Amino acid sequence: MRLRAAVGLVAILLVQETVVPQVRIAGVFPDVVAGLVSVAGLVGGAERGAILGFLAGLGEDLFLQEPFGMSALVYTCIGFAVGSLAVGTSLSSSRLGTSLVAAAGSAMAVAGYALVGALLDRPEMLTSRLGPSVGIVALVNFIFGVPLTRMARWMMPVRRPVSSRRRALQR
Amino acid sequence: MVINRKRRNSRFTFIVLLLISVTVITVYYRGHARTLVSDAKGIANDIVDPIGHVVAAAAHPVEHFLQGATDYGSLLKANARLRAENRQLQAELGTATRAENELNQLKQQDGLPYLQGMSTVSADVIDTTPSNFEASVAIDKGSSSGVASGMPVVSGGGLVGTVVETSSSYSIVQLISSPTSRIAVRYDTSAGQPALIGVADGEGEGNFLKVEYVDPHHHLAMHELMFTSGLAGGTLPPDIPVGEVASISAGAGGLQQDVSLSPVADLSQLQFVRVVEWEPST
Repeated sequence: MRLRAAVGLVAILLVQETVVPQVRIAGVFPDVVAGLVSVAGLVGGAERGAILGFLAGLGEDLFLQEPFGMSALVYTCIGFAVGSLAVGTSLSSSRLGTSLVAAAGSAMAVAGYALVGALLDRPEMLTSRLGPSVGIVALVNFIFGVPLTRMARWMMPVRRPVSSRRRALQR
Repeated sequence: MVINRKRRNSRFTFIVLLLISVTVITVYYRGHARTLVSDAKGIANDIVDPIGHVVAAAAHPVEHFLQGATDYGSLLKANARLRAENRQLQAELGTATRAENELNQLKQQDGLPYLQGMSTVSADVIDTTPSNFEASVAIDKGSSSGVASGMPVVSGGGLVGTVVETSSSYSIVQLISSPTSRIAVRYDTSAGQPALIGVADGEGEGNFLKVEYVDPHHHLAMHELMFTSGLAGGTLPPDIPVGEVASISAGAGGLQQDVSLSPVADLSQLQFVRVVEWEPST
């Protein structure tokens, strides 16, 4: 499982750093890592969402000029928040639900990133461009919500209790 | 009870990760781990950069291949042949135009008067950094070619930005339009007059620079050029054109003029740049 998660993380970071720079919508770069972290919280729960968010954030920080650790902080919060809020909901079982979570989570991630930047003496991050950035990143992740959820499920397969596994084997 | 324990574990993990993140940011801000982080960034970019090249280069042939495949199945062979010829001619024309543009840009780099004999390193712009909060580009020259952090980068017209990260084979250049960019500029070039100094702040990609601290009594003309100040201890050499005045208005309280500056270098179409091998005196 850890190997899958590592492979998935490297893959999504490669996409973010190599493919995404070729695709710019109205001057805004999409952020598929934020989308993956959001649905990871939904699929894997709060704890695994936070861990994946932290690792993905550290990876993304390697390629950005903003203070190191900011993405890790924001994505940890997003993974945990989505995982905590989605407990007991049926969002993960519908395509629309997962897409909405990917969009809402990534919108929160972009806005949160700018807010943390502003708190860390970077007030220019809260500019008028923030609105379009939030909107476009959310829209792109809404569109890619389903494949991102599949990827998150592949990276973090659901751990079934031992008894149910035995039952499945007996069958 | 199991659920409660699970929630407690989740919260504990979350708090630990939060504390680690905050510690990483604090250590980075205090400058203790900048070299380590810079090295890690260099390694990561050295790994990803070739893949990025391949992806960018792959985009065009794939597009052409798909177009060719579509035409292959066409029943109107003659029509398809003519279309293909037309496309080929258009592609050749496009290639010729691009080559001409590249040649013009390269010609512009030759003998830039404001460099005053300073040695430079020519570099290709290979990528943009995918951040929505910074304006920066990657170039294909790094520390192995003599590029170091803090060096100014120019193109035909004037200042493009400064090098902020280097690895052995590539560097990141923060553009003057980046919101975190601040440049001391000189705006009175009349002989015998003491230089007047302002500060040009980046306002994000595609936006004019905003110049602060412009003397309210000084008559500034539209399209007047502003240059790097080259103040003692400054981070840039003097007399590199930064931009020309695009708008002037009286500032609030009359303490300064609000001036916007249009960058001289075309930051939206950078292909070739020159890194000036100049480091700030300490």
